[in-house]
Amino acid sequence: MSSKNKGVVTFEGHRNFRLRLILSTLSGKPIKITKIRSNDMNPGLKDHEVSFLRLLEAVTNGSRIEISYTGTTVVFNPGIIIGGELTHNCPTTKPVGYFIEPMLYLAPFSKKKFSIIFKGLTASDKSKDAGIEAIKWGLLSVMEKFGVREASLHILKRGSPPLGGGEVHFMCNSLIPQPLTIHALDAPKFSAIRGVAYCTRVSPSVVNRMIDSARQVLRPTGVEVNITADVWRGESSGLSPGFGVTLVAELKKGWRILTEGVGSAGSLPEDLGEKVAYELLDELTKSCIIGRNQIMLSLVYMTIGKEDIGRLKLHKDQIDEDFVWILRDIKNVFDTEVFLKDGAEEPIPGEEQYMTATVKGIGFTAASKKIA
Amino acid sequence: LKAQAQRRWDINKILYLNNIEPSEVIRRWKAEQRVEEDEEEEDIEEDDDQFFKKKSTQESSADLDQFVPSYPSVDELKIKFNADATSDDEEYENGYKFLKSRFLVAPKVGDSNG
Repeated sequence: MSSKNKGVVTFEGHRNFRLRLILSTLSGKPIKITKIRSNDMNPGLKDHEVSFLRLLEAVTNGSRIEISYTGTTVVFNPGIIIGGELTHNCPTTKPVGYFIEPMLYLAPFSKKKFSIIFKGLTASDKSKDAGIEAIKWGLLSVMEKFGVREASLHILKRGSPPLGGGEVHFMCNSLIPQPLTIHALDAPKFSAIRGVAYCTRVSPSVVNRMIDSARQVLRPTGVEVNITADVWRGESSGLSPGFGVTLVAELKKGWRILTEGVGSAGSLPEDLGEKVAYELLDELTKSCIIGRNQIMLSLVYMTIGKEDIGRLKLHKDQIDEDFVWILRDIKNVFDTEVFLKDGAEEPIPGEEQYMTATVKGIGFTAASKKIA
Repeated sequence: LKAQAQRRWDINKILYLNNIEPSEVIRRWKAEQRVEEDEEEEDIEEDDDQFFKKKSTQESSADLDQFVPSYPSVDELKIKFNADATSDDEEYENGYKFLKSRFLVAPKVGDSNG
């Protein structure tokens, strides 16, 4: 739900909280988010959302944030994206991926280069947020397609839940005026499946157990499967024991589709490996060129691209409720609509399972390229 | 009414209509039948019990701003991908067989002439 009043875009609820703030920052339009968990037993913003607002304030210059007494309303007046070097301590309720992911939308269009060290959990079994490998392999590869080539993510320390103790360094040296226009209209083949299984403060055999079970599920595909073991010891392994696995299907032309999982207390590594492998196969069945978790970044970059038509082929199963929410949020802020062309209209066999999302870029200009 | 429920809508026409909830947009586009409406009447007593139950405060917060999409359970996925290859099971078409056409399979050792 949203409305526009005196140039302020108003949203209701906490859905897509980070996306709405990011869109506001990119567009320079102030937003007001009301009724944040207003019917909840604990109404208002959560600590990780407040922490994210603080991060947003730190990477911008001139942003003004007003939070109501109950925390159920936020007014955000965006400033200029300046980036710079800083350290952000993330609360242990969310992994660092929750904070890094939105930075990918801002970093390439900043005044200065981004170099941020995030401290906290590097993965979490309690929330469905991006892990480090998911960002590194899944989102940075999408950014490359849009012309952002010098972005990197390094794990300095792994930090498993509940105590964390991890450190991740995000850098973006690539400052571009706007994303390139993409025409991703193929349905390329999957050339290999790669992955990493990691563990902290547990027996290294845990990693091999995850790899073996994942391999067993992926073997019938007949494709090359290469999963790396990543065992963390000593100080760099954080404060708590834990394990997890990320699997990536590599497509021709550098596209990647991934799934990931984190072990919970008492769970078996074999079960996790098997689960993540099956989820990857399911994701591949429902994907064309990008996975569902890469759609948001792709659509935002396409929207803020040059004043040209960008096209992206999607699987019909990827068009769900979340997809519609993203499109509506983008429209409310940028006033741009995405047109979906049904593949069934094409005379080519096999195309009926796909849709092509077409969007005209707004001709966005980055803060670093603007003339004062 | 049934015919009306099964009618497929042009998604572009309803995508941005704020008076239609996104879930409804998808339902109309996919022309899913409204089975819930019929079920609602039968489950009125159960709904009353549910109405007075304390709502969990934990569940809603993370679910609306997440990165990882939702997947079917592992058991469902196992059925989907491990259906008997020789049967005419429709699910099998969506499993390994469907994916095999999209995988570039490397030649086995000894297959190559060089």
